[in-house]
Amino acid sequence: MHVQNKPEIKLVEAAIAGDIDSFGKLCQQYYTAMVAIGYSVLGDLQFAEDAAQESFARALVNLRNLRRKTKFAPWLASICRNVAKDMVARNTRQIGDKDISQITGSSNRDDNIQMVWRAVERLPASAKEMIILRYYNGLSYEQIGSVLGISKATINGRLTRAKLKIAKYLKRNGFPENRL
Amino acid sequence: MKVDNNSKNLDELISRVISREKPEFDFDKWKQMHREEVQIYQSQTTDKQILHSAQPFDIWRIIMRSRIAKLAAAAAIIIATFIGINHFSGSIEPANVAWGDVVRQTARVDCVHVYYFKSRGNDLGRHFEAWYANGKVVLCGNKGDMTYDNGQTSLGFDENARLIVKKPSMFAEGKTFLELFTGGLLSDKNEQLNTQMPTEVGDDFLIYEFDAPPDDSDFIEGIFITVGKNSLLPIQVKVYDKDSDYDLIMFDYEAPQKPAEFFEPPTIDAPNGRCEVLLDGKETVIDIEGAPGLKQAIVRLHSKYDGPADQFPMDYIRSEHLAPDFCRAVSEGLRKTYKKKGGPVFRLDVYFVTDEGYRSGSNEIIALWLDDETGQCGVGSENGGVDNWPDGKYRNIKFSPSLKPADKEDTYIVEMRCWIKTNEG
Repeated sequence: MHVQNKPEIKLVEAAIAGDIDSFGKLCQQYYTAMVAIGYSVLGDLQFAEDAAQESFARALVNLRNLRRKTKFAPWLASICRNVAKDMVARNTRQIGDKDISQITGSSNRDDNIQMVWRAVERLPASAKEMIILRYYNGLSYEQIGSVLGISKATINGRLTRAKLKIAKYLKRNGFPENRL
Repeated sequence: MKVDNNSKNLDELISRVISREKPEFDFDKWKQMHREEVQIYQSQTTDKQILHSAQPFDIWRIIMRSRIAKLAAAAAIIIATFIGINHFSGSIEPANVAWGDVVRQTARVDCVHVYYFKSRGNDLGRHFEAWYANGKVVLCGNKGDMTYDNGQTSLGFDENARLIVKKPSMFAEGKTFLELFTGGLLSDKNEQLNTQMPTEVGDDFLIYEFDAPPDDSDFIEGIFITVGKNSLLPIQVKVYDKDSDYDLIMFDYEAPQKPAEFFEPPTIDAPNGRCEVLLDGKETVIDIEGAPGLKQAIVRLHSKYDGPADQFPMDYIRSEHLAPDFCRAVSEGLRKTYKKKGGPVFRLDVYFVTDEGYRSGSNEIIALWLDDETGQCGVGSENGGVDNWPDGKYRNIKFSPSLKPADKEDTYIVEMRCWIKTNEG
């Protein structure tokens, strides 16, 4: 099981005690991971950034509820998942939309690449989250472990199973086997 | 096919569809955009007082992040007298009273007053209060927001009595008040729960303990319920979150029933703008009145669908500004709604012009049914974000459109309620 390191616990304690700059450092530290989690739910990077930032807002006002200081990142991640799910459910937008990233709409994406994306998209939520955490910006096992509160061995197992599902989907849908 | 973490081809393929540049996060800018939350946080940590979340009231979100903990002797302080309720007079031994018996007894309750508290360290703060009577509910949130549910429709009003949510009743699909106020955790359709016996039998109370449902086990530790031994009615439900404190829901059957008018929602203000719109996808200007800061709403009505539900187009929501995956997710949600509500359904794109002449971004994912008001929608600046307006001020435009038939072919009446949320005043 991943153990949150001591400097981070000090940041969490300081944030709970009222030091907003410490909270800011924690946000900086986990922003990429939260965007990845939001992205795994929303499938859109701009919305994922909105979800990450909204989850910081909810975390800030509920920080005093955090009883296990060693679990800050998993707690934040669960908030972020809920925020992203709420965003999908609400069907409403709070921001302008001229700057939305077109991650899945790139004109140079060929059919095979689209098929890979569909394979990722069809993964169960937890597997999809694991894949995106790992491949979005190349988060390390340690970083993923910190966010999900699980060991490297568990991460490795889950990643392998998720990739197997992707490969099976691709094969079933006629993806060139020599490219796998 | 062998796949492991060394399968480089697959790694490269996945990286190609996912890998992006590192997102930048500016904490100072974030603080500016979240002044309300920062103020709450600073109040909490300086005054050590319970202040409530800045989130809009959402019973489901509140409850789904909770769990139920061990009942303490605190249960004994609750004294309830039951008016108009038949006391349980069965011959079953108390230890053999299944949870399903409690649920059946609960279904006979005509009125109940519900208190929902959330613990914060050593403090316990009221989160909302609700009154249920004969299938109707009034729910009062902490910020003055109110919800009225008459068994068919649920209307949500913000602290300024502006209608912000209109949706089907919270009692849809035969939900009981117990199921409603426990966020579905205590579904009367769960046979596994219904057969469970009390874990403790006291002189006055029965105690039931439930594990978190599998879907909620990431957040909820367990559920503990105190039930009156004679009445077989739940008095207290306690839900503990894995990472924080507990939620406490108390059911008070003592208070006299509220008069009928108490359950009537406030009069809904007239729309801020109204206009006939053709179903042609062309822009129509609606002049806005009574919404300071907003001059016009500009709408486009298009994409009428009235076909079979199973052929509802998965690309119903389309936008060159939005990711296809997101559009598909929204379309999928709409298909489910369409299946329940039927057609026709329309798409309405909306943007606004402020008094200064600034144009907002466009909200392109609104689906409207006739005579049905959407929930609250929102847009920010044309360039994205709520603080990226030409003058740098914060503006979050909130609006609720509705669509009514007109007596001309392919012509409809769009009504718009709207206002701007700013950081001023």
